Amino acid sequence: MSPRPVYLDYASTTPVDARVLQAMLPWLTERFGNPASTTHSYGWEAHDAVEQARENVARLIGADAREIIFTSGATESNNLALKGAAHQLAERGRHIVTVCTEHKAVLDTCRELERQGFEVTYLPVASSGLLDPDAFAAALRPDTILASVMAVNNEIGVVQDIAALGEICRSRNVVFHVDAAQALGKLPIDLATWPVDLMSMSAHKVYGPKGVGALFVRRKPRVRLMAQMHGGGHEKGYRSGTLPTHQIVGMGEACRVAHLEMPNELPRIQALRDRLWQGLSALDQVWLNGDLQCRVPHNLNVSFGHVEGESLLAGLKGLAVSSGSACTSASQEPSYVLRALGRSNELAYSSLRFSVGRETTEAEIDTAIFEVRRVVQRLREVSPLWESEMQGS
Amino acid sequence: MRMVYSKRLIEHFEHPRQVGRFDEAATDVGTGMTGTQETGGVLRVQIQVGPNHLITDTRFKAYGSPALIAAGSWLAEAVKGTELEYAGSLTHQPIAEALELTSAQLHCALLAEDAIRMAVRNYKDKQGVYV
Repeated sequence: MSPRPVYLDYASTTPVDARVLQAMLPWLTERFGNPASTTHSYGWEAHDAVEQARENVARLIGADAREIIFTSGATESNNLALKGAAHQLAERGRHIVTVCTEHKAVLDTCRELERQGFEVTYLPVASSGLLDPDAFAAALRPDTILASVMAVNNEIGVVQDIAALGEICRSRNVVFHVDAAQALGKLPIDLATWPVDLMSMSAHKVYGPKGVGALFVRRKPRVRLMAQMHGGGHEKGYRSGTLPTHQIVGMGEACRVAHLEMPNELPRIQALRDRLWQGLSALDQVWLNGDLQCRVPHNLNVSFGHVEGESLLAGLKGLAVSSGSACTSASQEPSYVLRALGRSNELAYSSLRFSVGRETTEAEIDTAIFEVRRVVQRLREVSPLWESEMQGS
Repeated sequence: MRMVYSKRLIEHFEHPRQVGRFDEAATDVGTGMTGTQETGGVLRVQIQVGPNHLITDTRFKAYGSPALIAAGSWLAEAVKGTELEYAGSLTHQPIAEALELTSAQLHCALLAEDAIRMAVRNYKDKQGVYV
């Protein structure tokens, strides 16, 4: 058996932290009660554990625990936020504003709302990946009820100016939703000062378990949503369904650990990311995708000129990374995010997303640099196009 | 998009044979180039022809998927030492079979077939041989 590839795909998912796993386990076995059971201690202790987790999630983002609704993950949170707010406000207006580089969980939900009769504006971004607040303000109309902008892009890691965009929304009486799936635990979030009404989160991006997430729903000023899941009236009626205590405890613990570790972890991770970029940018014709400054510390997205995407990935079988070629066939669309930055199809296909995490070591980064350089150089050596490029220069 | 590659395909992809370039202007060299960068694959195959229409040496270069690089490498190795007529009559089938190409990879063998035919024709045109 060959050794497992070096994992540099923490933006896709993370392993469950050992502390998180330990916190979760009792709630699967001896403490298995239903948090909704009010008649005995099995239920009471599960309820208390859920509320403790709610506190932990709220503390990480500067919110009140009462503003946290547990869901199955960021996709559900995005669906609940967008459909719930749109349906609630439909009588006031039917216009929604979002951005063309949002995650599919937002874009596809917006498409569904369009099908239901809402009108959606998809704003473009600059070549840096950043949204221009003036263009955002200009897109808001009197009938705009809702806007949705991701805090951190999942592919290129750029950070939007959420505070500024939120101010614009508040002044125009537009409900502002933020998809923070890629931001949680990666940058300081303070909903006490950010004018955000709804915010989606996911546990498995922050060393928690898969299958659990949360939606922040602001109390002051109060935001109302129409429930999308009906049943026993759990989570204040916003999201019915028996609470998965172990999952929720896992998310709470993951958030507690993130809050604790962030001051030390983020600079360490950024140093590793910068080391990776330094090593890769020594190659010819390497392009960074997205702004380097307004960026989460763990993300690096790079395109390699004159290298074909499928061969790049096939050559890098010692690395677990994401690719901008959604599929290997040229007939398939490359990353719509990179296309939105103005990258050519070829450069979008030949892009790699590296994301560094809690367990990444300097030795792993050096292995990644070595492997990428080796494969890129080898593919260029066999390329007739690179040969003409070199002769031309 | 988990891609399936045969053992031999991987072997050629990781250790391509006959990589390089002959002088295209040389009268004993035939060059065939197929594909475009926009469609994700470019393949150049070259043959050097000695007395008795024998292919004495070959070169290839490819930009594209592992299947295309392997197809170019396999082809360049396979036609070296063979007769011009044999090389010119080669189809995509033996290439696809040798590398166990899937239907999604088959177009790489077709590009290789086109490239070797163009290379043979290019040589014949230079020599004024019309067969």
